[in-house]
Amino acid sequence: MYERYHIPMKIVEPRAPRIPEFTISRADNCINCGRCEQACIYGVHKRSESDPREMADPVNHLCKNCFRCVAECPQRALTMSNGAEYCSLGRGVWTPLRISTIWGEAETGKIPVFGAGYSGMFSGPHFDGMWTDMSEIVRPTRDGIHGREFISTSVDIGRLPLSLQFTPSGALRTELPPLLEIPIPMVLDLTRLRIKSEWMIRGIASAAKHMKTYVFADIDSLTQDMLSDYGDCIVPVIPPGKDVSTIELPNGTGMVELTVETSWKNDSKTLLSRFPEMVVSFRVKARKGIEDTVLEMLDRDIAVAHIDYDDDGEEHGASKRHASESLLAIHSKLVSVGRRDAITVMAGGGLAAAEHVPKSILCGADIVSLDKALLMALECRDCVECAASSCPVDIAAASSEWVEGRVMNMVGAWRDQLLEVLGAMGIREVRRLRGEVGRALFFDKLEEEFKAALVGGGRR
Amino acid sequence: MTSSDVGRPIHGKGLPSTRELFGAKDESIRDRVSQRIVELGIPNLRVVAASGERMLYSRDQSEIPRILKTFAFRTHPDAVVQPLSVEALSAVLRHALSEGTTVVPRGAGSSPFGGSVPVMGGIVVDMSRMDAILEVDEDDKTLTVQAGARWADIDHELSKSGLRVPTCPSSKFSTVGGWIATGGLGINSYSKGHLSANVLALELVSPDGVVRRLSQADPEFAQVFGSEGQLGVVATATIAVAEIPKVGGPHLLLFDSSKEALEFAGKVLASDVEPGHVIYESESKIRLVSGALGGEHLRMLDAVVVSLECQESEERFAKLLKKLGASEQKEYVARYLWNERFFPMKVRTEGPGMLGAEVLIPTKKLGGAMDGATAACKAMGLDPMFEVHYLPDGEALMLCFFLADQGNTFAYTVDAFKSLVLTRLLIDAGARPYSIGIWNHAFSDHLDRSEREALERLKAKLDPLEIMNTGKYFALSGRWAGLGGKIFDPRIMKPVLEVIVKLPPLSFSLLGKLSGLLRERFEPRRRDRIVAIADECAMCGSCVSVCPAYQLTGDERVTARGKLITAKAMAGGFPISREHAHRIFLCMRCKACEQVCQSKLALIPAFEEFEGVLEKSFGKDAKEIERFLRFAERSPVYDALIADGLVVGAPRHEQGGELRDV
Repeated sequence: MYERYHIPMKIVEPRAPRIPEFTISRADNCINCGRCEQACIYGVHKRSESDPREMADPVNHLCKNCFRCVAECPQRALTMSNGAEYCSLGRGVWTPLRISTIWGEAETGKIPVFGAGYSGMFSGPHFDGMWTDMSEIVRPTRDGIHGREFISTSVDIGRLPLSLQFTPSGALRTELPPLLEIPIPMVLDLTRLRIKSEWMIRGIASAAKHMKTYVFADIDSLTQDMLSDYGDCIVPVIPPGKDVSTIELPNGTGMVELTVETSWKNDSKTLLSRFPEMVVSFRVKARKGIEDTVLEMLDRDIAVAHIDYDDDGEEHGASKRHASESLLAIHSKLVSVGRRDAITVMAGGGLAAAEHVPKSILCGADIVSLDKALLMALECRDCVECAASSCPVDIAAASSEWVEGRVMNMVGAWRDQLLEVLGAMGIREVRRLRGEVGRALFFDKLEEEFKAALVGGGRR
Repeated sequence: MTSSDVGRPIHGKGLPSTRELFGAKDESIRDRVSQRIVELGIPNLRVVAASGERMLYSRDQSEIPRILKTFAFRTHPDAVVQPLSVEALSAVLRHALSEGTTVVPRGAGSSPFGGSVPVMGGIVVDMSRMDAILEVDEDDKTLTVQAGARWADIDHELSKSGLRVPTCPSSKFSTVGGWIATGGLGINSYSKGHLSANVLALELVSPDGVVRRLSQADPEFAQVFGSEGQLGVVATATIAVAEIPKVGGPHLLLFDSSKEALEFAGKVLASDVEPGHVIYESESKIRLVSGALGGEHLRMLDAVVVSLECQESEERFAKLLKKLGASEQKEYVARYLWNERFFPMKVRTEGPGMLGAEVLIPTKKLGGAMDGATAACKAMGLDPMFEVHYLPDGEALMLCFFLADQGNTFAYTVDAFKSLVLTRLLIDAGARPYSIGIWNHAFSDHLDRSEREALERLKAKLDPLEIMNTGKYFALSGRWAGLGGKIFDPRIMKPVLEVIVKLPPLSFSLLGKLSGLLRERFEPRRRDRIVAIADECAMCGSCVSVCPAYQLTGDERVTARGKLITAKAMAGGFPISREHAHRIFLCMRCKACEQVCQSKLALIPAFEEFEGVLEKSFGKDAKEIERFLRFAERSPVYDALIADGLVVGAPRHEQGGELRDV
């Protein structure tokens, strides 16, 4: 029977008190007249349940900043301000808006709606300067993007043969390398999380299992129980310094990951010869010249280049090139040697919002790996000082069911947003989005062209 | 003549058109008098049926000692009605006449003399909900109001046109009708004269239900002023208004002794300064006021406040000060004290409770009278405070107060007697009583004989069956076929007081000793917070006028004053019904009462405590509270109240000032 891929979602309430974006304070001159209750359509203002003659404290997190209560209050007793704690959330690309959006996605699984009253900029650095094509968004639909037509979000992991050869009798002669397929271009990466408890690992692994994707975890953090429960979706990550000639791998996913270090070339040879049926992934820290490293990996028949950017999506070291540029360089290099499909490019780090997934793919990644966003789905507040013992939301104590629900909601919401983008572009398969830079405008490039035209510097 | 030509009302909380009241669960009417009125089905008339609600009308600003309520007077009214139109008022009076029932007119109930308190039951006509401001004529500079309009509301309405009333009583939450009936002397009387000079016309409804329109030219006109409800009920009044002066303000001077202060006031009055108003306040009063203001703004000295209203006055006053070598206090302090003219009862919080005498006295006898009264008070163990408002023609209105503890009934009763002694002393020193009511009846023989006889003749004409405020003014009646009131008869009380006044220092010190003894012996072991607050309350009724719940129910039991009186009554053993208890919960928690309270009582916490006590005995009707709140939220009356601001003229937001200033 035909079964469409679907991520089940349900409301998963937060465990910690919410951090409201707006704080409404009620001054002493409030006369409990109830006008605010009548004015607010979001239910921020209610009479107290214990004594309806008095107004209850405003339920700030429901506030949508419409100012209606403030305007209607006959006493001018209400004041709205930006939540102080909210404003101080996160850093870098992890803005308060992005963090709280992830919280909302993880709670409800719904696509966040911005726009009404949007007062932000329409461009910014890196991903924010990318405008994706939406030319097909006006196409009439009967039952919406998710029902109208099938849009595939499946992606392959591994080396695709660039050509196939057949015997005269018609049998396949080309030896096919091991190849895996996952239904969403997103994998979950536990190795970069600052805190992990057994419950978190189990919850996230369980979410990955339900969504039929993979979770990358340090081989040492895995127990036998976990492997027997979720082994078929866990990709063990071998930390640097392990002797790969003796290492034992759990069988399950058929995929393993190593870290690129000085001895990686030998390690890869050993590993590939020891486990020819395995998809071998190499994790590499993105630095200046990453495109050449990937080319070297290509030459050594490595199936997956897992490119690690920092938490802001930038290369490590002095170069500070952003993933959008860096991935494009890798993609172009692979295309220029004519072997783009001979390696899977997986990008991680700095993915702080749903639209970063299609944008990364557009810039040349095949798959993205989600890391810090997973913690955010678990209500992480991105404290500078991070320790399980002092965690304001006691993240390590969350049950695995709760973790699973939150992660699935977030990934589900992100996939739905990916579908929206693909639908608006008229693309029916996420594989075809990869490297489609022609379907996006890059604001800084446009600006350069415009400036050049102004000063008469000619066209590029 | 009817009042149909008066014009459309422009302001009023209880207009018949917006009259729909909240239907709280009611007590069945068991009293015959109330029942008969209800049967008449008079439109625009609320008949107060519940005994508990009528209880609120058995007192005015001052409390009647229990012993007098038990033995001397029947203060509990048989019926209370709230007319909302002149027609309803007429109908009630006609009914009372046909039944021969006593009618006691009542305004805001903020006079301390007992003029609106029944002494032998009867029907109390509560005029305070007939409070419409009918017309402000900016060209003719006149104002027409229903008698229940309060001075604060009038002032606010007039200020929109840059106008003000020339003179008003110190209680801004008293009604126009009430001041016409009881006094007529107050703020700015020095420059603007008696109220009768400022009221141009009024409508008086006599017991036969006829609306009589009287203007200044009519010989009966002046007699209505201070007639204490003997002639009929004042329904409307037309008052001359004036522009708010743009120049001038209050000036404050402090003196080391009352003698110097009075001398200075005399010099100001004798000069060409022509002040608007002059007030003297004794050092003891200043001490309490300063405490109430919560700071060391004032030095504890005798004070004279001179209010000036034009440029010439300011210049002449400055010249006079230079000539006398006197120096005035900072302007803000002067304004503080000048503002306090409206809150003389604030110091009641200190007693808790206050008693005293209010008399008219020639200015040249002021010094002597004050010295005598001070000496007598000291002998009786009292610390008197004086407040003198200068009047035209060499007279002054003198208030002599002392703190008394209402928590101790026995001591309080003796203190009340001392206040009679004090009045006696002041009258002996050349004063005459200002208002009669109940308390000053003992001195009613000092009223102007010819005026009194003229009033008697007019009463015979308008109220031949003597149903208006029966048993007061001319002769005080009470329980025991009227004998109860006889103790206040001048013929009885006068010799008693004379003996005491003639036998100092022995008699005074005996009274003082008696108080001390009673204070020790009957000191209440525990004071309920709510009862203590009730004793501190000035009973000025300002909270009633701003209470939205009152406007929505017409029932004074929902107001702060109503709740405090209920608490006191319960403490005194008055049985209250379940319905009465549940009325206490019908509160919007708007804090308007706290905001307007001159004594700054912590009312809301007191309500919460009181409700806790009531809930234990009577339960709580959560459904009725919810129904009430939803009723209020849908009510156009409530909408209008909120749009105006519950406490008119009060700051509406944190920065202060009106809403439109934001």
